[in-house]
Amino acid sequence: MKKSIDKNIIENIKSVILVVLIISTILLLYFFWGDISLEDLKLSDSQANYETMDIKDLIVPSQIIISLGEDSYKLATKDKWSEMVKGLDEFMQSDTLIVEEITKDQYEKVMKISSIRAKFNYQLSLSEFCLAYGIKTTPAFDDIGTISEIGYGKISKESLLIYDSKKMKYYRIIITNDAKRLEQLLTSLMEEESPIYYTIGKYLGGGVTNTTFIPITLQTNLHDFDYNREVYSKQNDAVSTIAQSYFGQTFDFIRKIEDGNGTVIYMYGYGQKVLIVNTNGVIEYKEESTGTNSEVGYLESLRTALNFIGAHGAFEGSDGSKYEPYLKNVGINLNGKRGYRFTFGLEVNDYRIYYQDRDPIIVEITENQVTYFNRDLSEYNNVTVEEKKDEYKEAYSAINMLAENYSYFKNEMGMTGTFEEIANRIISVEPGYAVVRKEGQMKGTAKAAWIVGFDGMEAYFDVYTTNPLGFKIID
Amino acid sequence: MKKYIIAVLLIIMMLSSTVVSFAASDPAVIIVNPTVGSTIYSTNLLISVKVTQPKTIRVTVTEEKKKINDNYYSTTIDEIEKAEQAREVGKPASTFVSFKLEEADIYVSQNYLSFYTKRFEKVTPGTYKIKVETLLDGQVTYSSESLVMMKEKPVEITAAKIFSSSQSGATQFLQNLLKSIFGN
Repeated sequence: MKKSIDKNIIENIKSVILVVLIISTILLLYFFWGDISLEDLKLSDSQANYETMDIKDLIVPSQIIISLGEDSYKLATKDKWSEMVKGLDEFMQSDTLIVEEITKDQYEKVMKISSIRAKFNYQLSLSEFCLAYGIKTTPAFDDIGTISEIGYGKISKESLLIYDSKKMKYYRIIITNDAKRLEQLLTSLMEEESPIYYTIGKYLGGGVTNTTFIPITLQTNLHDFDYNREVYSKQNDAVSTIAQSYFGQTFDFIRKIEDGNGTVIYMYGYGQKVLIVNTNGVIEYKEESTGTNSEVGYLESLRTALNFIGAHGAFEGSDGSKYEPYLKNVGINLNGKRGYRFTFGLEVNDYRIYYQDRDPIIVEITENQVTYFNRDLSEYNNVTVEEKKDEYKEAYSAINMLAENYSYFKNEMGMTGTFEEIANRIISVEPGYAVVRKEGQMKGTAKAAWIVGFDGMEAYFDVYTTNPLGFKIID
Repeated sequence: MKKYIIAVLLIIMMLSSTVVSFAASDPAVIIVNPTVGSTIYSTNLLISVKVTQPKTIRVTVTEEKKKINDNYYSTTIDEIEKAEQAREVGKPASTFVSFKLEEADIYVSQNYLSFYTKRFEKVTPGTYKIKVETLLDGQVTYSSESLVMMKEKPVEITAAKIFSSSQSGATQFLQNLLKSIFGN
């Protein structure tokens, strides 16, 4: 009897062991073949709730231009973009949408008088643009590559006009229904009191053909503000917290290396993932591509980038200093790999901040994986900026800011030619903030400035005194 | 003795003369916009004057009208120029009167390159004169003028005229229409 009971117990134990072994085998096979790492199973505080920006809030134009005729223009404020999107949406609701390629001359004739157009600094296909905004599309949109400008003119009310700067082609989308929203928006913006802009060519005459707009006069509420870079020198706790957001709480398989100058490097494995926390507040993260060879679209990659940014500080300084981000530039398929390099810019008080040394947030996505992340944000006093928001002053005349700095363009920036020849090469003039700082400088002042853009360079001048503040060579 | 006195008086008059119409134009002051003799189809007028030395200038914009008896009529650049030519050869010529749009502006440039700019809104059709005088110690040393015609905007060209010569043609149009209905 006793022998029988012992035998039963042994058999039961064997059965249990067998079951455990089988389950373990299945699980191990799942991990090895399913390409899942143990890290993914960890419940980490880095998975805590964080806000991710909506893509729509980033895919916004750099300018909304209203053409009044005779080379005079107005620029709409950013809040008008949502109205324009509604107008585009109404347009696309037409029962029939026909895409037709047109000439540059036809495009310019429609846009010359009583027109509105949105201009983008980066490339985005029309289909993706419509997808992001939930606007109806048609297969005919695939013929249009990327949109650099999208606009509407009263002369041709049945048309939406598009310019693709990559292919240098012009299109119009013809509708058969009535679409009134864009016309109403255009009319209201033309009648609204706002600064008038003329092209540089109009101011300078002669052989100057530059169509960059500058205002005759401009009232601005730009005021200098002080900033402090995020400092991590000898702040082990802060650095550790940052590292945990990338590698988890326990730092399994993570090596920590401290440089003599205070830079801290975290490395996973043999460098598959590297986090560098510089003493000047610049954070860099690099991850080797797993090489899945999958092709992921622009919007999906941008979403991945935004998720990553949201999980690692978002677009705020470490003290909660708020910035409004915008998509500054998009690089596609760099270094022969499928992916995107998203460069984000920042705004304060609705003005863009231009950094002489480096862009504040850069994310590289390779085959839908974050392979590079750079963050360089500063803290500033929101309250001080808010307090001065209603204080307006007249900016220095834009045309005279250019004229009086002709010698700076030549002597400091190395440009050659007459003033008119140099002015002909300008691609943008806008008010904003300029941050010019020395290597290792930890605090400074974001200066209210005129930002003058050339192909490959940008220069900064005090917006009220026109004194040069510095310039940047753009790669 | 009489001839001597007349000669001295003439020299004094010439030296102290501030008659504007006989002052030469300043090579350092150029009216860039509007271009001389141009026609602008707009109700807005942009004045742009380039100054290439530290100088003080006075800018006056006037509407030129022809006076017939006690009435004033619109005129053209051509009429004004013909009248000027007639006067130079001693022939009778029409009389023109200038009506200021605004008080003259004084612009002081302290640099070797600067621009005076001003925009006039709601300008009625007519002929306008932009006069730029260089001042030195309150005296006019140089003067230059530019005449411009302001006209009403022409009837806007229509979409039909712009797109009638579209390169796409009927074939492309049909292709796009079919694509939009049936897909690729």
